[in-house]
Amino acid sequence: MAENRDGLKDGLWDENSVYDYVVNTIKAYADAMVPHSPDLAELYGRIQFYGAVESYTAEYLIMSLDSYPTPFAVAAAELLNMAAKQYLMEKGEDPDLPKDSGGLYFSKLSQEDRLKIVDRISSPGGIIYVPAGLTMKQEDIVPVMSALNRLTMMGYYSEWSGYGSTRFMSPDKRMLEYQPIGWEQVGYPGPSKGYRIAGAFNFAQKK
Amino acid sequence: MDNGFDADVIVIGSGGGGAVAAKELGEKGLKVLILEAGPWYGNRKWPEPNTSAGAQESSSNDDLDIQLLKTNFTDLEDDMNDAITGKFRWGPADRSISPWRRIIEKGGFVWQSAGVGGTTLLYFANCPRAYPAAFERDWPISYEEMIPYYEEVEQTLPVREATATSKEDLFLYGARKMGFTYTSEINLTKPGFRLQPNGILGINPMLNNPDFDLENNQAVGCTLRGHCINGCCIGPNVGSVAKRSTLVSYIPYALATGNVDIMPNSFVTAIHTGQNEEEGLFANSVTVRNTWTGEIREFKAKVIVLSAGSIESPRLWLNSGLPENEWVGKGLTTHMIDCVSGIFEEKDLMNILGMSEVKPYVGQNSAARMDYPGLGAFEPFGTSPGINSTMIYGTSQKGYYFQNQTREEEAWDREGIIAGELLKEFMRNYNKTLSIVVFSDDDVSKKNGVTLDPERRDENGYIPVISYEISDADRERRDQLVGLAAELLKKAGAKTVSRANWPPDVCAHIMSTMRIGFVTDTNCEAFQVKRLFIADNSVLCNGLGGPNPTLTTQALAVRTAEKIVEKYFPSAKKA
Repeated sequence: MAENRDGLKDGLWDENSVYDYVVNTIKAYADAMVPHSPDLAELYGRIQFYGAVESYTAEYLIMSLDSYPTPFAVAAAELLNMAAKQYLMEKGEDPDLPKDSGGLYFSKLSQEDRLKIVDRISSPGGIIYVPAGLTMKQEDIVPVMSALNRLTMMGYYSEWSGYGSTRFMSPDKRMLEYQPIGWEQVGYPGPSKGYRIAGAFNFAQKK
Repeated sequence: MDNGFDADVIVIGSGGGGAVAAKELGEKGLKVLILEAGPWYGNRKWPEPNTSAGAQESSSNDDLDIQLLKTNFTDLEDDMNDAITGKFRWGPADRSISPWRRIIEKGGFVWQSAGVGGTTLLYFANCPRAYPAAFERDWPISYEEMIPYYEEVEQTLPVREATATSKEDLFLYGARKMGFTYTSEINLTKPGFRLQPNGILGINPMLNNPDFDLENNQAVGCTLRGHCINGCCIGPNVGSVAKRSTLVSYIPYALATGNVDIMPNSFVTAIHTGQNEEEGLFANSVTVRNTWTGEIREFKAKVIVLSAGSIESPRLWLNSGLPENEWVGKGLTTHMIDCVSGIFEEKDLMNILGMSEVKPYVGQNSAARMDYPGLGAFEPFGTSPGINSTMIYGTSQKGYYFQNQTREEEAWDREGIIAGELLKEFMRNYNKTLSIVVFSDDDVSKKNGVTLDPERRDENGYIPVISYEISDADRERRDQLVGLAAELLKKAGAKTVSRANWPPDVCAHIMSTMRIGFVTDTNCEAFQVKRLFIADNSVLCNGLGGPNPTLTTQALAVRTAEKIVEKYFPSAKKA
């Protein structure tokens, strides 16, 4: 973690800095997965503009990562930034960020490059080194990183963001406050008790 | 019980296999104790199954409560299906605690649920039989011998021909266009399509009546609402809920015998053995840890049935220090599951279906199938959008779509994870999307399976490590079958087709890690540990050729229960 302690007093962890570092990194990933889309909005209506930002998807990801048997959000952010730094070096770009940047290499990348980084550390061969100080092994990292894509889609397209002000409460205390943006964007009406549509289907006939 | 026994038979796990064994044994008059690691939904003794410990055990159908089940099963996919905090997760009932850990080496994941009913809580309830050819290949039991047991489960569950909705209609249109034909066979020897044999009750006959009150529905029958995977709770009481997870079928039947006692929240951490001259090593007790209190107890029985699933059954064997056997945990098959999906244009859907949308959230999650003995099977499916998107766009071993170039001969237009603006564009077309899940026939290989991590353990023992590598022959079959599914979408008129290409170590159909003939004899009794029987997917000799495995495991569990009675309880009453 030494990398990101730049700018922190006496090398001690500043909880707020760490929090910002993790949030900014994970947000940059969530934004690459489900970005704002002005073009879709123009074609299909304002609702299509919104993305992971409005649905708190980064918060969902951090919460999910920290609910693994070994909390993983800080480690994931660290991995993404270290892999991003290496990627910049390989591209021949100056990888050294100013001291006050908080070590946020990952969010400097284009959306497509961010996803390439995630892909790189989602395969066993892709993790070139595991940052010193992380207690986990390569085989602990691979499944969590490749789960990120699924987690993002589950966080975004399920009811989770609709829990609104109760979204951080324990699962049994949450209340659905409104229709998630994701449901509106895809045209999912929400749960149902039944559909009155039995028996009108031609190609399901046996002949 | 007399003689210091807590039961005649202890069954470890109440999922697809264990619940069936318990019901069959209870019916013969044997005292059965089921130990289940997860919670019990819809039982008054656990009014708040995820937040307080509740009672120790329940043994009566009087405890089951459909209103409580409807409260527990919210139809919301994150609440029910989230892999980390969902009610259907592999983890303890208390969702403020992290799930139980598995290590999957190559980026796959395990789709399993703890709880009374096990993974049948979330399964689609597709209940096809195995392909006869798969039995001829690897099984010491003949297919013909299995038929009466299949029939028994099909009548009991029961299994019914599914009711199609738009997604099936479109799928079957494509299958016809491909030149495939309808098959009325149930023992399949050649390719053909059909409606699914589903473990789902017939459609509520009043469903199409506009005056019928769906909100306060107290009638029996499926209402095509599309929540099979989120947990079905449609019915007048727990025992007549439409989708026949074992929670609502074999568990209530087992309780009805008056001989079955079930302890949820009870994780078995060890099987203990005794030894005598006559039998050699035999199983005689288990250690159980309460997942709420951490309390450790020991229970004794004359016979133990291991039904913890294809990962935990070998894990428990290994953690218990039972005799070494080179096939324990080995031979894992997964069907190398993959997904393809196609997006259609409104006018084409109007022409084919007479309606402008497929609406994947409507209808049984999967109600039709294409069987292709020699390659496997594939089926249309549709779920709520979170799960649906993770399946068709969020899971791949090939990275993101923009990293892959599609070759001329491939029937799909894109391969890999769909992300960014394209994900939003594709999901905007969720209602015009047909999804297909593909189950390919993978060969048993000793390289694939479950071992223990040598160092890391949790409160239940050393952690299981799952390792699966696809062989060239397997990959060929898989690519061929996925190609057929993609071609079907194109033939049906899909304008753009995507292949996910899942990592082959995704474990949703998890089979053959404790195989008959290698770990057990043909009665499913362990060669090396007498009085220890296995009744879950782990005992299957192979991946059945591709069909969904639950029905075969259930049929085999009926047979195993018969063998247990014959051998160890010959004076038990005749059914």
